[in-house]
Amino acid sequence: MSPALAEHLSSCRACQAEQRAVRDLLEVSAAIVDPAPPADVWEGFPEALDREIARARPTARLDRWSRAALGLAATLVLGFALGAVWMRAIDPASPTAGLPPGSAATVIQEPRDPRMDLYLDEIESVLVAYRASEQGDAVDVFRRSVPATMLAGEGAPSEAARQRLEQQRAAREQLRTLVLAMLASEIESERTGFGYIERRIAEIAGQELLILVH
Amino acid sequence: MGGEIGKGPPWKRGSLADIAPDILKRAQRGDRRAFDELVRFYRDDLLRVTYRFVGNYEDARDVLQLVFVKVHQNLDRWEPRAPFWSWLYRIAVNESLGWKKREQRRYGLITPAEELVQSDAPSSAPSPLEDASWSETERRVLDAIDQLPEMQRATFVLRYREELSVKETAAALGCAEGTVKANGYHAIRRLRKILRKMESPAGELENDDTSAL
Repeated sequence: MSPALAEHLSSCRACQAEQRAVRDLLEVSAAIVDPAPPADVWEGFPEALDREIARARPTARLDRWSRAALGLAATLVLGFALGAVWMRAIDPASPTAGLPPGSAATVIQEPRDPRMDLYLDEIESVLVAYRASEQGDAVDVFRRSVPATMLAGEGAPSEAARQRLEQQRAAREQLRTLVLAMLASEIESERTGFGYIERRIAEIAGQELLILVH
Repeated sequence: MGGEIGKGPPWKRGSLADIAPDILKRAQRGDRRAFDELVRFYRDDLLRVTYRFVGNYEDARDVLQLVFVKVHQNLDRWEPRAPFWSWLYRIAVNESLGWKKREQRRYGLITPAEELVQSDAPSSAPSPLEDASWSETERRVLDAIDQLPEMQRATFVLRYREELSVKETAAALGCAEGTVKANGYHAIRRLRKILRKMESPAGELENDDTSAL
């Protein structure tokens, strides 16, 4: 107790009474003695516990290493999937080349998780927008690699170039968020699993990538 | 268990020291005999904790069974960042509070939809204190504790009935020490309010009657 509080307590009757009341309450609470448990309280307990443990549905979960391996595998698979989408978009021989964003999913016949379609469509449109912004950039590579906020005065990028840089940065951030969301969703999804992702890669990018993954 | 447990009266202390690490490790690896030993080691202390939440030994034993099933299911995931007993206490408190909620729902005192709204409201469950043989004051205090909101009740029971330190209570509830202090303060304030209300024949709140508990 601080000296100031102690001094106040010594002269304030209301606070003294308050302190006494709280102390009484805590003392009564601490002094309450629970009745002893019945003598046979543990009778049959181990057997009942055995039954309950056996009955409890084993939860589907992975140990730490399996979770880490799963995360790594998911990252690799997603990396290949994203690369495949990108390569298809720039490959003139691709059946999806030249089609509007989102159309890559339309060539796949197999029934699939609509959430995954949504993610892939979003990623594809973000990639297309990102590529378009890069190709249209007139600022040299060095300047593009420097944060726009660090450039000022003579030689600084034009306002348009600055805006493009900002857009690129936003697109990268959006892409990162989408990838994380996709990864989280896939890890969470016990129903679809990696078989689904593999099928999507095979459909989008061909069997070669699957061989690499395996 | 270290800390300030030893402050309390002997009949409350129990055997809160943690079980030998090798038994714990064997139980974590799935050794059933080690797990049974672990159950025997902690069951009396945990029965006391669950009893203090649910109010009768029959239900406390059922809750304890749920506690040990949970422990068995998750034991391999426990990591020694905090004392093992604090993990057990946390499960025991959560299961006891969950049991209370299920009971309230079963008897129509609370619906799942109302649960979120009411989670911080005083419990309206009937008190199981009628069968015990405490003095009138003790009975009133226990009844008042039973009416506290969940977190305040958990904090008060662990801090002032189990007589854990602030640090130990925080470990057992999985919250910050500041939260324990705040909940303890609010619990005491609310308890005094409830007790004053009980003492008032009309059930009305009087002005601060500092002679009351």
